[in-house]
Amino acid sequence: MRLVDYFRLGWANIVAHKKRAAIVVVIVGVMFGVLIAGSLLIQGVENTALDMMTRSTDGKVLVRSVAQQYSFCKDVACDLEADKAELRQRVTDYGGKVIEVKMLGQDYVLDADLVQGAIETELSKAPADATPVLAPLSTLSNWLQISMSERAAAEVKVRTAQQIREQAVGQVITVMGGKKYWVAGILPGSFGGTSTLALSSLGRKNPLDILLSNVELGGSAVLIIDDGDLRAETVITDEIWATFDTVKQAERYIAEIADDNCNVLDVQAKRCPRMKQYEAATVISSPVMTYRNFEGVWLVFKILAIALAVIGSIVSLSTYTRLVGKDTKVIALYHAMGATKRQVVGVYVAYLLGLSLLASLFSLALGVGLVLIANLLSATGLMQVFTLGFGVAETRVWLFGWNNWIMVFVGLLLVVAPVCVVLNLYQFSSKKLAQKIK
Amino acid sequence: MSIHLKNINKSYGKKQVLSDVNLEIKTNAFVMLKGVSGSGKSTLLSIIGGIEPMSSGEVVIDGQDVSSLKGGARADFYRHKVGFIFQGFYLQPQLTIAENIALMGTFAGVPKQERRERAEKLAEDLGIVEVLDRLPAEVSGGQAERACAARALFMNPEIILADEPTNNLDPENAKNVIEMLQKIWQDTNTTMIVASHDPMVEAYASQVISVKEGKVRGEEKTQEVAENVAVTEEIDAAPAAEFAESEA
Repeated sequence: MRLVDYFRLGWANIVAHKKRAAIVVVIVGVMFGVLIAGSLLIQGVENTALDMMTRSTDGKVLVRSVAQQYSFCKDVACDLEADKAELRQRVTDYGGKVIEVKMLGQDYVLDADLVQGAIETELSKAPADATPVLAPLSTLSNWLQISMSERAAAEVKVRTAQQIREQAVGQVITVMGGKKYWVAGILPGSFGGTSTLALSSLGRKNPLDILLSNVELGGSAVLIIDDGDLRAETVITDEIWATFDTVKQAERYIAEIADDNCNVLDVQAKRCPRMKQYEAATVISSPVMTYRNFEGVWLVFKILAIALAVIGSIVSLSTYTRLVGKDTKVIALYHAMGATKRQVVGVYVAYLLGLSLLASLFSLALGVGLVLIANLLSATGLMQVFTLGFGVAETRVWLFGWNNWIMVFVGLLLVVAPVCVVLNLYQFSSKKLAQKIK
Repeated sequence: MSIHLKNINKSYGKKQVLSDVNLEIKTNAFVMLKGVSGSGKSTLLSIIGGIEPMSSGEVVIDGQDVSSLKGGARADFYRHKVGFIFQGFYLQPQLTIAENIALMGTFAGVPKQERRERAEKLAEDLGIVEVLDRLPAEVSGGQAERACAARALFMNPEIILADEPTNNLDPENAKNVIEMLQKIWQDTNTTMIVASHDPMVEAYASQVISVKEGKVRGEEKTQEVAENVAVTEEIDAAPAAEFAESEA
């Protein structure tokens, strides 16, 4: 018997009981569809937020670290240069790359190539007497002296953000003290009372806030762009700057540094065996905080998903078992037609795999459909909060991200089919065929 | 292919259905298992076909005890030795008539093209070639019965077992079915065993075995069959009504 014959007979069983098959597919598909929707949505929010936060640096995470002149140096021998060397080593250990950053006054100067993603205009258009910069909306609103109440309506906030964008990008702004900045682009960061992406900050109630509130916008420093023509005098900063290819690497680095950020009280309480006072933070927005928050979200989701997947698998298993139980007569007929037990088992594995495959496709379609509906229903709010939080022009946002958990759910559905057959092997016995056929 | 039934006993719980049945069915016979509903004739047929276990005894076909067959040998027995025509057809509703006819071939690993050719040939012989690609629900009762017969014949079995093939058919269709079975029997040289309470079947049988209260009595009537005349002799003196009364 060829493989195709197993699937032909299995498929025939599905077709023969269309209504029965449809009910099974819908029941099983709905349970797994909800899980798939959750997975797509969480990953979608996380990916989109982190992409927006790191798009300025082409996906890299910019981290600056400081070895402080710690307050307890009187009591212990302090070697700041050795501490800096240790920080550099740690950057390398965590997969980062140390970069040399200069300062112009109080502002940091970065190579244009490093922040290419944030530059919206041609740098060559910058006037000779103005310094090209990247800045977040909050800084630009101060420079332009455009004020806005945090209680203002969402539409007003978005209009203000667009006004700032129009008046700043590609324009020269003279700030207090007479310094002239030419704004090459806008960096992400909290603006207009939006400390997170939660739509509630815009006065909208939305269930997506469960996820969006985990996106910490943070702030961004003003970054001067060195396009090679920078004539002003700069000095190399004492801080250790580094780029990390992934948010995960940056998160691990920052987490370890945080263990070595002691103060006098820590020293007195003897909670500080290494006697270090290090600090590290991201320069543009808060990708690391967001990543950490989503680790928590994923943990909760995984616990719920495992529970639901187990329940879903048990429901699938019992449903499939009932289906096999109803087919006693067909199974007996197959035996009487000369089928071996292995062949009958094969036909039923193919049958249940077919049902699982249909349920998987249904659950995938349902999951994608639910996510699309959630996106469409929240389209305006998402557009507004992204405009404010990331300083981007108004654009349609799609929160949709693939995650390997989806494969786990689909795999689980498929595995249920052979498991059910194995647990019901006694149903495929060729004994008492006459009674079964009657 | 001779069939020997030795000391067959069958009971469902405390109810004895067959009691000490001893029987020999000769090669190429057209046998009728006759009896009223509940007499045990269908059970006996199923025991001969190896699809019903017996409480004790032996069914020996070609020197082989059917009840001792296991696994692949059992499947081989169903594939090559016997062909079943079940009461109520049991055509798979989702398969076309051609696929139903060729079902045994599918399990036996007969290539698809060959299965189709064999199904077409059988359908042609039985006059159902025009419904080959239809589903069972789209054909008449008579055509479904012929499809069942074709399915039973697909692997050229040596024994054909038919359980109440004329049940629920009108007299004309019933006659057609019996004639079809007789033609199959004559054309294929098989041993045909038909469990039925239909007197019409008796007219075509070479051997009639009466089953009453779990016991059997049999008699050959080869001559009548050869001449294809109506039955002239009651094998069991008791009329059907009497069987029914005794069952009750």
